[in-house]
Amino acid sequence: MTFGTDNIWTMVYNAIFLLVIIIFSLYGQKLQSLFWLQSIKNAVEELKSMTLKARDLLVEKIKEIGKPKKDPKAAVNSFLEFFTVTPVDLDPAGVIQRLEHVLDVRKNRWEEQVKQMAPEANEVYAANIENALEAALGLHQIFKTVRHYYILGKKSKSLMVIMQIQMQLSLIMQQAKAVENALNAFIEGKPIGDSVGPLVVTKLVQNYGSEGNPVKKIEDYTKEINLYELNIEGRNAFIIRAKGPGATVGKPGEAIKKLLNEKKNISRLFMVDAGLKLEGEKTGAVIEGVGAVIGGFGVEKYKIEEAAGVKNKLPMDGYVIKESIEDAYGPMKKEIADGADKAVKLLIQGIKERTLENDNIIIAGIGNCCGIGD
Amino acid sequence: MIVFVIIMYIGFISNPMDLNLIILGMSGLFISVLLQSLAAKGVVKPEFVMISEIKCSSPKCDFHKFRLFKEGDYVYKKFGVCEKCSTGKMLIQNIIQMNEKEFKKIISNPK
Repeated sequence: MTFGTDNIWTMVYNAIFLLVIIIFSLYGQKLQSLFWLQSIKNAVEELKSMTLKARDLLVEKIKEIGKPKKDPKAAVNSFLEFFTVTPVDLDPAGVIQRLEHVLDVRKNRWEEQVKQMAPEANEVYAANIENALEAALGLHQIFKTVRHYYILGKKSKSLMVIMQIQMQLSLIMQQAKAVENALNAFIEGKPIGDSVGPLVVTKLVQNYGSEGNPVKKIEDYTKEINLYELNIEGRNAFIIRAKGPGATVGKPGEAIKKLLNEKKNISRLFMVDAGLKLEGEKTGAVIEGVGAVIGGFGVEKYKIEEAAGVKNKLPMDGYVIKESIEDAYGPMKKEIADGADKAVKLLIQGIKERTLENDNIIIAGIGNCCGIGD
Repeated sequence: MIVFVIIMYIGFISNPMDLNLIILGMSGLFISVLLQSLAAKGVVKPEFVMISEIKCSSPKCDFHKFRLFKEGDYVYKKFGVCEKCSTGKMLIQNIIQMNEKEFKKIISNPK
């Protein structure tokens, strides 16, 4: 060892070395929390700029499309703080109905708000603005949550609080980016990854519908849901999807329930939806399974399980097109559009294998219909 | 970076251990990691564009083209008259997000 030396540089190095050891052993945690706080601060700044940009973009779009009499900025700002209280689940009996009621009230309130903010917007643009508003609210909530933990961590100097938020930052930012992409897509009416379910069933209608096989279309079969009836491979198919090309989701569960009440001899239910992939899985891969393939709050899933499963003992086949959360909210990627073609082939194969000719079947394309016409 | 790791290693294996080399290696390693992380911030990410794939609605016509997405486009939108056969309508078959380079490649060679 070179501790005992006359060399000045060796002595300087030794001193620095010892100093570094002392600083890190006494203030290591403090320094670490400072670094973490700085990275959270950067994220807060980025989220703030994303939120402001999203809000300004939305306001501009409302002005352009809705031609409001007064500046919608104040209304948008106040709506970014909008909240929904979910029903109490201490007594779970009837919680689904209570949740559905709250969601209906919320939806009506949003529609009214959009009508007030953008009175000239047509049905399609109104739906797009409504979804964009929801995305802006989501972004604002993310920003507020991260900012809350940043300030809390700074105030309390608690390494626990700082560490928890810092270690989730990359996932949070990923989610924020996804919501930002969704907002941009809704504003311009671009199809998003989640639109793949309706895209698949529309492809079926387009591929099979012809002069010899006319498509019977019932618009607004239930609110914001269209029903198409046509012959697919000798089967009488009832196809359900949300009304496009505006960003609508509708209540597919309600439509399936209504259809099952009206047509008593349905033999099988097929559902197609986008599903979140695990890291390492291929985007656009199509997988098959059973059960009600539908996301959301669970109200529609419950209705389908209740109506198709419990009451009618109907076999339910599900097809899922795999995608990441950014892909689901962001503009539709080529791999996902290719996945839709694969899903159509698998669906036809499933129909041929698991149903008989002249059977009545339901095919539901679940998802947001933004940018998907018929 | 590897050079500083080697310097540090030599410092450790010298008999007696050479603290000068170890500290030099450590400092160099720290600076190079710092520079690398700063340089990573300047990495250019691929640009994406949204494109509309257009076909003719007539089954007899093989018209097919790609163009940049325009606001108001949606999948299965029919508009105008086919540029090739003048009988069918133009139909938006797909709207997809694509890497800009890939799009340029498709535009230069649509088949």
